Amino acid sequence: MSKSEERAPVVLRGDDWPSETNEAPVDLSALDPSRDAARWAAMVNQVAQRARALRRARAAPTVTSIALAWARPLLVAAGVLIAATWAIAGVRTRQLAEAPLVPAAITPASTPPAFAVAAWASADEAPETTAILTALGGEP
Amino acid sequence: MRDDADATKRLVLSAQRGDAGAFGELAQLFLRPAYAVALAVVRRPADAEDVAQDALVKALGAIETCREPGRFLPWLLSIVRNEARNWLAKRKHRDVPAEETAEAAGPDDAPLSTRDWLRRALATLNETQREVVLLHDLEGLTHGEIAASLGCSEIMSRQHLFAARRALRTALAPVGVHAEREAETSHVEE
Repeated sequence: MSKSEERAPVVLRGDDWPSETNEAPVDLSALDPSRDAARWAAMVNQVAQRARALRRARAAPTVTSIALAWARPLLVAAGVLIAATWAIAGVRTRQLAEAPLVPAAITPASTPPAFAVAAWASADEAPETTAILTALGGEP
Repeated sequence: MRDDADATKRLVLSAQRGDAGAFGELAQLFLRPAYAVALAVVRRPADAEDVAQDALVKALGAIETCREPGRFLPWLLSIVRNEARNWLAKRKHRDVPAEETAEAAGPDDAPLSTRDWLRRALATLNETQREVVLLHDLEGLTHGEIAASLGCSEIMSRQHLFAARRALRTALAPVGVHAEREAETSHVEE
């Protein structure tokens, strides 16, 4: 026998395990609960029934599950609404910020004389004669 | 039964689809190994029956969470183990430990039944050894199935079985003496 054969590792699998390392089994049948066949069958049936009932109960909708089912889409809709409102409000705020204090529309030619005069007064301006005439509807 | 892994897989898949008959078959097939594992942990046969039933109900009630139907047995036995340990932890707070009751009646007291002697002998093993010897010698599971359940190698399962059987023989040695005494007594009475 060569050295390599002598050193070959022994791998024990399944039924290859040597019998001399096996202790004879101890009779444990006194602990077997199914010796009373009728009692055991009743126990098995009870387990199956309880398991089916538990599964049915889990599958049935509860108040909480219904509330959760409705809550999710409602929360999404509320979120979308809040985001849209926030975006619109942002745009409006920017528009107002960019708008002039004295509207461009209030010009001598296109507004009633009272508005034109009020605009000049609030801006502390001294309009020219042609502007006054234009505001009053006359020809410059 | 458990040799037919495909049959078990089919049953689990049927149960997951809601087939009521599959629940009965799974309970029939797996209540015994569940009992063996529960007994290994809680050590009292009556308690083990309760724990095994509760754990199997819990497992079958949540059968859709078994992601690998082909590995139903290890999945179930891990649930049973956890249930039994929780049960044992609760019992420690409200009850006398199992080993005390198991050893309360000694050989000098009233004669023990074979079942009591086996309980006493099993109490001398550690939990893993108890589980291996009960699953192998009481339930007839293979070392492959036991190893998958415990998350160890088959060789390790065999070593646990060897150590468990040897310890059981040592612990059960007084039973032989007891039996001889009984025989002597009956002979004298005759």
